[in-house]
Amino acid sequence: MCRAFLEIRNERKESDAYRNAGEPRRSTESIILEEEVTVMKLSRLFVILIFMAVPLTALATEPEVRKAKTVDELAAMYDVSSCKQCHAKIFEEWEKSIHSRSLIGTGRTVGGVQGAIKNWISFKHSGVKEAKDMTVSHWSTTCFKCHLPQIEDATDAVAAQIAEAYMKNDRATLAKVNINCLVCHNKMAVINQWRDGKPEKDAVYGAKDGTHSDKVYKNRRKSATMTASVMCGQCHQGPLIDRPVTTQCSTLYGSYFNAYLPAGGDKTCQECHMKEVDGHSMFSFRDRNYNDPAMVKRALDVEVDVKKGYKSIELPKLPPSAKVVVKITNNAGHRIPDG
Amino acid sequence: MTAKTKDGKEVFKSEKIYMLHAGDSRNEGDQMVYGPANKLSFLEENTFQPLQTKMETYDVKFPENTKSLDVNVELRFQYGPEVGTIGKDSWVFYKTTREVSIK
Repeated sequence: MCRAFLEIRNERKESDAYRNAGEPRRSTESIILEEEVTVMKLSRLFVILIFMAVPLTALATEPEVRKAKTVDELAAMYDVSSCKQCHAKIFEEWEKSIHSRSLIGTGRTVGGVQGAIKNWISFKHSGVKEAKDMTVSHWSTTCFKCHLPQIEDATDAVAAQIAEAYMKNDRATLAKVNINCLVCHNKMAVINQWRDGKPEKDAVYGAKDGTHSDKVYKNRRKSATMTASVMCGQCHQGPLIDRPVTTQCSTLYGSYFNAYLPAGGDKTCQECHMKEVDGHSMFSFRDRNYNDPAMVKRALDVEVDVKKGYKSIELPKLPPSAKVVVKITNNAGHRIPDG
Repeated sequence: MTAKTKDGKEVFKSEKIYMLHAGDSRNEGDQMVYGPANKLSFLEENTFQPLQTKMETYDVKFPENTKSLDVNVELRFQYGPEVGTIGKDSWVFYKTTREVSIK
């Protein structure tokens, strides 16, 4: 860049010399002044050219990413209705799951997020004075890191729209977007992106490589991540303490990693919560929740031993008593309770 | 865990909450909080750990002239500090009643 600038400056000097040959001689100062003005003009031109060139170069290497401007647009970007045509059973399982209503949850999520928004409004440094001030950045570093990771593909207008939907308890809007097929089988399916790159835009990730009979997602890609606990750990982890505001909903993966595995556990999240039960419903919807005897039996053993009552002969004033021993064994791959 | 006489009078009660007791993120003393956006420090961890057995023992005293007691043990999962509504925000994981008597 500097070299090109100097060459043009020298060339300009030479042409000035020709142009000035038949003209009355001007003072050295005036020539220098004119030359400096010319150089300044040229340098300004270069700056403009350089600034124009940089974005053009960037556009050439990274395609423009379209961002959703409304919740409906975001829902359309993550439309999974075509998945149902071939994967009806899995789709129905997913519809029963809490993933399919990730902004609402059991209902408690709505209250929790409303409380969080109120908190942030009250926080001096949050940048949030009212719900509509919520931005993608606010959401993606807190609740929606897990409840709606695709918020990254939306504008701040969507962030505000969802925040206002929460405050109005507008569940119809909140139900439009969720953790669906594309979130797990595309967006979140590649963990080691420095090695493996970002998820391919036209691929669904799963057990095999190959083609996929869909107009948009034409390819299948094998991803070991999909069957590993770390897949679930992307969200069911915690505490999240590296954020501008702390968020601690779940500590499951930490418990799995630091307690279950060292204690000899060898199952993955998917084995207990998908493979051995009802697949993509993940045993987590309200009707199949903590009141499911089969799930509770798998997770906890409770033994109650009521010892025989006894009384003291030598100390007759001591009241008779009975010893009750309760043993509770956690067979799950994580602490109980947790979220 | 409770123990009751045959006529329903409660003579023993012990209740314990198992959870990851979290403190306020603003570290204001010994305040325990529930909200995910507030939790940070930890005050107590007494959850059921994976592949571990937790044992609780209770010494139930018989009231005078009482020969028999019903011992009730209930393990309940609940969202909040209150029991709430069973099946909605509170679930019974285990429940048993055993009789214990003295001669």
